[in-house]
Amino acid sequence: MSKVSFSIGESLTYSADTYSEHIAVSTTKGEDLSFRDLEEKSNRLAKFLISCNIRKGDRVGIFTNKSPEQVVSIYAVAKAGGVFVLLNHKLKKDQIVYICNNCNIKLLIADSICIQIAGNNICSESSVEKIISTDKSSATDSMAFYCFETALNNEMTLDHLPRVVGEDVASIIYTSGSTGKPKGVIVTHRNIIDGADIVSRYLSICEKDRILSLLPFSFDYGLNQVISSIKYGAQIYLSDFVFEMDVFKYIQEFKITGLAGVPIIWIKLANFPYLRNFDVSSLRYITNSGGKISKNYVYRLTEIFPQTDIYLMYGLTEAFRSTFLPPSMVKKKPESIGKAIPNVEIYVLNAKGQLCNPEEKGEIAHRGALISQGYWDNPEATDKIIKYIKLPNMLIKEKVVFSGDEGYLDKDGDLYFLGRKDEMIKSSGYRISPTEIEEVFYEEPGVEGVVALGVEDIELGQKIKVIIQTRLDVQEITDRIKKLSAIKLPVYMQPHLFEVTPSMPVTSSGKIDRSKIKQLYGKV
Amino acid sequence: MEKEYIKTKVLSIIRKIVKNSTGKVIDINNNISLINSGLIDSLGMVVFIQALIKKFHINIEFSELTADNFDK
Repeated sequence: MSKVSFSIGESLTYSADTYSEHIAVSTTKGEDLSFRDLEEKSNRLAKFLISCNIRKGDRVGIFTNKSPEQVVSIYAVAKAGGVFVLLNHKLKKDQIVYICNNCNIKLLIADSICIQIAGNNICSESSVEKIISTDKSSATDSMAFYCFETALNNEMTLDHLPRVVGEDVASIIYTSGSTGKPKGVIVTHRNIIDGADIVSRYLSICEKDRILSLLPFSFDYGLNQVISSIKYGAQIYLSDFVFEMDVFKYIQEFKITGLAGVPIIWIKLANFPYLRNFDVSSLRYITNSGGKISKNYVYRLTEIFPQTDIYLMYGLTEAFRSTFLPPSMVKKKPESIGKAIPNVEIYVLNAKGQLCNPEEKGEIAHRGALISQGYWDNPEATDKIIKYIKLPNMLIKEKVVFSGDEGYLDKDGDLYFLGRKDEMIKSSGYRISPTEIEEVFYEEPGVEGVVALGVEDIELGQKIKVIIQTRLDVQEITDRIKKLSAIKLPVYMQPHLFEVTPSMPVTSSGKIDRSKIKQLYGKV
Repeated sequence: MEKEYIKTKVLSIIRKIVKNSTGKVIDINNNISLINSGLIDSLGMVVFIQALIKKFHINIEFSELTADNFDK
């Protein structure tokens, strides 16, 4: 079989032929699934899905904990020509019902706890017609219920799976928008396969790698990790991020070579007091995305993982990944998010849509591979973010993603992220980047999270409020933060208000939930 | 403290946290793995540990915080 694959199903078939009995998926509890097993099981489940009347383009929800069954389900739906919708298991019933109805999910693959969360009557409350339960215990005799294991034992004589091409829709990835209901980002097989190829190229992922997966697959960053790992013959260990010590334990025990995380994970790992007790020398690379890590923590990571390549990356679900800073630059430019990834071009544009000069602030735009097909059933929102235009250096009009993020390029062409355009603080006539303020407070030991935001004020336009996450004493940290503010920040950037909290709300993909923080703290 | 008493109290703490995180009353029994099932995430775990310390006046060391010690 050719090494080139155009669809998710093909990429697994190629790996099963090449890596056959090598382990593809492992749990931290010692369960293993070889490439051959994964191919076989997903083929069987794909055929069962077709027998359940799943046709090309039908949406199938996958609502389980992180497990080998979840990975089998992803590939099975893709092979059956269906569209998989991964539902984060932190979602609550109303959100599940909303998503099911929004994209018309016909069949749900779920574990017994997720079925309890969705409610046993999900079939009467939403578009869901059938459920495949991954636990025997919850599969009842009801007509609408099937058991995953029975589905896999099914000896069906179906010779051909439907033809799937790169342009077919593979998945709808729901993102929690800053306002309103979650929006479903439509991604094709080509989007996902290109994402795996591009990322594997700059991370050099190969069959020698053992990758620890801490992020949910409902998050594009987590999904890319599993697809890349399987496409390039690596072994992926399924886990969740709960305790810092487990991460170090798993790195040591399984000789993990690759690890992806979001800022909160890195901050917690960097503050773990017993990290020196563990051998992390197997770790070849770590990656950060889903938010910027402050400079201070970037330096900490270079100390904790001295032999490890650190990749700082940037992207948004609508175009998956845009830039990365190569490891060799991390100490020189820890605040930059680097240059465009392979097969992508990045621009910073002013309000008139012209290219900004170096150091000039503007909106970050993405051209090239990985652009999604927009939002499910929401053409207005799609038109705002994906525009069909001709920029100065293009020959013809093409799709460009306007990120809604503000940033600038330095003289070397390295990109800097300043914040969401709609989150910029306007105070005393200045336009202030929350990230610049947050960066300063991350320098204070014991600070685990910082959010700066603007709150309405008659005189200033907006007052600057800073919310600090720490386990330290409130008074002590407030005093230290105020001192730091006076030393490090120009007067117009100094916060007027402070709040201290032991924990901040996070989104289902583990990023700091800025919109929720705005609801909680957005008043004087 | 009696074993049964402790068990009941711990279960009631877990049920409260799970109800808060999932929005539903979930059937929690001895066989459920709290972490692997995703019922308790890292934020829920912070709340759980704080509740254990407060309720039973115990001290929990960082080095005791592993999935193996909780996921049973």
